[in-house]
Amino acid sequence: MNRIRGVLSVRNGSSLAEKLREATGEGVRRKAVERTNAVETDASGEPFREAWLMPKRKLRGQLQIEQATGRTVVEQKSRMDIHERLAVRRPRAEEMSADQDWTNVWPAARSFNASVVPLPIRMSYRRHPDKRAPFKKYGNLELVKIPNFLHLTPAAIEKHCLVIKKFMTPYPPELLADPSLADKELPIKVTCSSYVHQGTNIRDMRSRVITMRVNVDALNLDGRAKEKLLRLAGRRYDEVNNLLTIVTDRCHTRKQNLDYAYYLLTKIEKWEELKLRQDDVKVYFSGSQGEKQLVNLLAKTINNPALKTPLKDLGDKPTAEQILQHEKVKDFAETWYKYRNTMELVEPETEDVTREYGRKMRELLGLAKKSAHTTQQQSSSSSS
Amino acid sequence: MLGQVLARGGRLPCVDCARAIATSSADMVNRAAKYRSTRDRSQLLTYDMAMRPHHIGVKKAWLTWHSQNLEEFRQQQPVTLTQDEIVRRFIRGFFPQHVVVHGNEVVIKRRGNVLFVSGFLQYSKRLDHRRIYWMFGFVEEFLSLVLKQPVKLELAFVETEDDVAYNYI
Amino acid sequence: MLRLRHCLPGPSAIRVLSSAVASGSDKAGAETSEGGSSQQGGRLPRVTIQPAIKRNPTDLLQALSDTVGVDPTAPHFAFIDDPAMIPSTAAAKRHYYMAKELGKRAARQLAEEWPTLFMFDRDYPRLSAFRPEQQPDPLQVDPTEENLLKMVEQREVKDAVMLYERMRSENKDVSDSAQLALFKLVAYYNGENVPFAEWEEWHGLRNYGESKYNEWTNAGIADLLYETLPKTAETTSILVAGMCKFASAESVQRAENLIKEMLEKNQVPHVEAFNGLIAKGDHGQWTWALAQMKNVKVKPNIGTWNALLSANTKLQSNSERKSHLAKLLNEMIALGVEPSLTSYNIVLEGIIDTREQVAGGTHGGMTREEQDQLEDALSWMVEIVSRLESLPQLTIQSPECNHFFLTAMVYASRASNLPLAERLVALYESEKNLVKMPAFTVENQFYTRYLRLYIERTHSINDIEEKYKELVPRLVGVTKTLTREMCEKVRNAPKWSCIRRVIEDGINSRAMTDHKQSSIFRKILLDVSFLNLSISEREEYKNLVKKLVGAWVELSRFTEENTKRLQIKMFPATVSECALMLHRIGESDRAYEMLETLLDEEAKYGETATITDQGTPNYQSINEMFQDALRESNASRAAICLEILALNTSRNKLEPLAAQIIERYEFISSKNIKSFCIL
Repeated sequence: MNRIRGVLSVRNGSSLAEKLREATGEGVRRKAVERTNAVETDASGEPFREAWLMPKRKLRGQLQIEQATGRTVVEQKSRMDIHERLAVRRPRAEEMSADQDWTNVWPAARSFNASVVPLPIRMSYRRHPDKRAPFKKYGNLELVKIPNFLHLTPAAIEKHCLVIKKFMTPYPPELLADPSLADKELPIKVTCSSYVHQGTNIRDMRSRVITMRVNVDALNLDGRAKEKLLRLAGRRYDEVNNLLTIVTDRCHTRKQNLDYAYYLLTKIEKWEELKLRQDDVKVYFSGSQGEKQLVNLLAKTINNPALKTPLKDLGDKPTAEQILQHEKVKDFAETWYKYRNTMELVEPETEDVTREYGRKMRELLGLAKKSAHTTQQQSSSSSS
Repeated sequence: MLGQVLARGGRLPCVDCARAIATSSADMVNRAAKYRSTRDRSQLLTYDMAMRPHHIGVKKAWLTWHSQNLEEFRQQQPVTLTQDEIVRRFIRGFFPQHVVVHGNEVVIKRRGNVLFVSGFLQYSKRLDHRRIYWMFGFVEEFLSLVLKQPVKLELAFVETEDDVAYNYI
Repeated sequence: MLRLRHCLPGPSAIRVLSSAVASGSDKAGAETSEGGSSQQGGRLPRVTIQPAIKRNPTDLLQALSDTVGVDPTAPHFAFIDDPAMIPSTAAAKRHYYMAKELGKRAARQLAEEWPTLFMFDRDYPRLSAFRPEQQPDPLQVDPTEENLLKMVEQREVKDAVMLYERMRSENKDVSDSAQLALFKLVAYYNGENVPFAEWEEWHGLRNYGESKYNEWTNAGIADLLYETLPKTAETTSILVAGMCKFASAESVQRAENLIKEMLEKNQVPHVEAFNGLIAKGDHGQWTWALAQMKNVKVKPNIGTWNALLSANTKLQSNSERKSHLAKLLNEMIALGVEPSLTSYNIVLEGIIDTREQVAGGTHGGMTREEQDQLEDALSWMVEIVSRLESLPQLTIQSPECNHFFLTAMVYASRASNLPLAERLVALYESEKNLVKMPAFTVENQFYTRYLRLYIERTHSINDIEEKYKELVPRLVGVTKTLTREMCEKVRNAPKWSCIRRVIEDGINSRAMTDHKQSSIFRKILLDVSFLNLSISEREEYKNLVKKLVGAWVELSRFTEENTKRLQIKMFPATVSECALMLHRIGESDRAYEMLETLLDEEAKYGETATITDQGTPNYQSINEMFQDALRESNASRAAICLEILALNTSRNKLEPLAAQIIERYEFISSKNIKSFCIL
């Protein structure tokens, strides 16, 4: 190993190369400006000492101009965070395999992250597409701003559905086959709303409201009860659909409101139980005073040999039910009902109807047809 | 003032623009979110800055996303706006070296109870991982304690501001 | 904001309604039964609605979260998911995790100290998680029993002790129950604060903090409390157990004496007391304790078995140890006691007595005896793993359960048994395993050993690459040994994607500061045949080379005083190889700039030196560049190369080179050249 040591001149760069350049004439390009190091002397031989007020270094402004125009090379200083900068990895989207499971990478909602999404996506408006390259996804704030649905790919939804299915019971097959069955079988529909909020307060007053829709036909009310119900319901009843809508919000909680809505419906029926005979819209034969008296009378006439009542075939000492079940008595009961309830409402009270009534009565008792005087007397005595 | 607030953060979509007499001084209205060009093209503009305010909803999206502009949520609207402003000022003040061009471009999203802060930070001056992680832990915990709801930072990192630049004017 | 609409038909209600209607209309005695009787009103709906499946409030969420698998490229969820912020090494993970946690602690402390500044109160229901409270200072707070019990509840051992001593000094009466509670706490922790591994709140410290092992403090607060309390079997057992947990020779002796006293007084010691003595006593003591246990008919639990196992691992003779341990395990299984993972861990650790050897590399110098022991251990392991695989679930019985996996993996890697290691990993990652190792520390070691074993045992570079990319850096931190082993594999089977990944991981883990590793990188890169790469791969190669060279140059340029500690000067070999790499990718200008620095005395001996004065440039690289320069007919470049060679090689090698130049350039006088050659 031949090495030069202790050379007078300090070697900067290859001197052989320089010599070669000189020899071949290539060095013409790089002609260094020769500075004359000649020192000026004045008359007495003293060197001219310049008064330099400016510092020997280049000024900042000068340096900046030189850098900006590219005349000097900016010396790259090593930055102290070299190891941290070396620890910067490559975006992990480039490491992802093509057959990975995306649902594992983006399982929940998340702002867009360009180093995680391996797709070549661009976003932002270019006025002149031929003059400007498409925007890159790194550093793109527009992609970050908008909500993305990378967590709801079809594969993810399928996974979630399969898992949720385990907590679900099958839909009633009868309803699937015939959807209109719902109106008949399940006539009450209760609707309530839950409210999910952005923020720290989870309560919402509006979630206590219950809307109950009842198909009135399914209640199987007879005309009287239905009429009463409709009178009470008022504007809650929709005539077109036969739908009764009850909206309750007077209680604090949803459960209380639900119970109240059911109570409203059933209350009417319980009230019905309190109803007495006096409240009846129509007078019924069974349980009426006339019925009792008639039964007593007929029992006596059966035993009376003088009267030829058609009830004789019931035999001695018939019971009240047997008497009432006799068809003649039933016939009379119908006439009686008609006479009591429909008079003056449907038909006017005429002599014919009254005569009919009397005739039936005599027939039942086994009395012969009498003259006008006796019939009048008898009819007045037999009617209660 | 209002214009600056609107420009930076809680932009409300203009639904009904009724005709009226402008009572504020003329220059107040027209200067918000608009940047003057410089002689040596040193003003860096991001896409968000380059698009004018009337392009919100057309060419650029909102920086805050919340549902408190709907009619049913009028009560919470001022609270949300205040929370947004707190978060923005905190982020801008806490990451002074890392924030990108004035630090206005912070995206705030709300998913349920959680507040997500997204955006970009740059590490051109000094990349110090431990410092950054410490600050992330501090900011998340601090903002959660202040706003009483979980706050998560989803800030991404960019090497220099030039990586988010749209043009220079 | 969502609205959810529910439609409830309410079949039961319709029945009630119908029956009520029926009772109203039909006076002749309609039945109001649920079955619904009479006419049209009270009939059952003809729709089958199954009863709802019962579920807990969080069952649905749990099921949804179970659908999420593992993302192999993602970092741990605690880290920021950004390329600049993902940690590559275990040390980096530790730093980042702790930094984040300390930031959280700082914020929490601020909120604890200034509660009036954090009073935004619009949350309903009130969330106490966002309103942290300061721990009460024992010297300031009222010395009441309630406060003492609160501190005991919070497990603030030292604070509780301080408060208690304060109460005693003020002659306040403390009830027996409070004293008992305090005694239990103090005996369990030996009067010290809760060790890091049992912290609940701060998981970073729980993971990374290392608590010192302390021995029982004699005549400490625990002993004092024991004396003041009435001496029952419970209190004495607690004391004995505490003394054995923090065992010193003295405390174990005292524990034995206490048990003797208890038995003389006909008090029955609890099983934990016996367990402690068995585990920590010497041979005589634990055999005696076992006999006494039988006498007093105390039922052994899993802790007793584990204590017996660990006692038996202290036996000196190998065969005796093995037979005893085998007998114990078989007895356990015969009695129907399922051995916990801790038991298996104790057994495995006990089989091989020289644990220091195991900590080393895979095959480092085992003696015949050690190999035998290892074989024994492996045969046991196979049985144990088979048994564990047949269990329906693995649950945690004690904090040391998870160490089983690590011990087993260590042995498997020592014996180079890859199939067994794969079975272990499969068992660990299976759904039925609920025993998890602490992340970053124990889990890191587990997977590192597994990966290194895999690299050693697998031939196909594709498989190795896949496994490497799956585990690094999520579970395994990049280390020098790992990089070295991967480089070995990659040199034999050069696959560009693997090379790139290994070198990049090396850069991320500061392998560039290591001269040996750096030279390996350069060799690998120089051996890559550029022409066989695709276009994008060539681009990657160029970028990688530029990045590497730039980094080495920058590392060498820390010449200022305050940054001198970071400086790593380049060796001349480094410079020459870097120059060759640059030259190959086409950056010849930069390459020759670097070569010129080799000739620059300033660079070696000046104030701002960046090149070391040790070693010589690489002959092959300079020669190659020289030949290329001649081919290009670039005289200056050829001259530079020649001069470098001239400085460093002998004369006879130079002459043919000089002859080559003369051939090319006839007009140069040969004398000049030769004179320089002499120099």
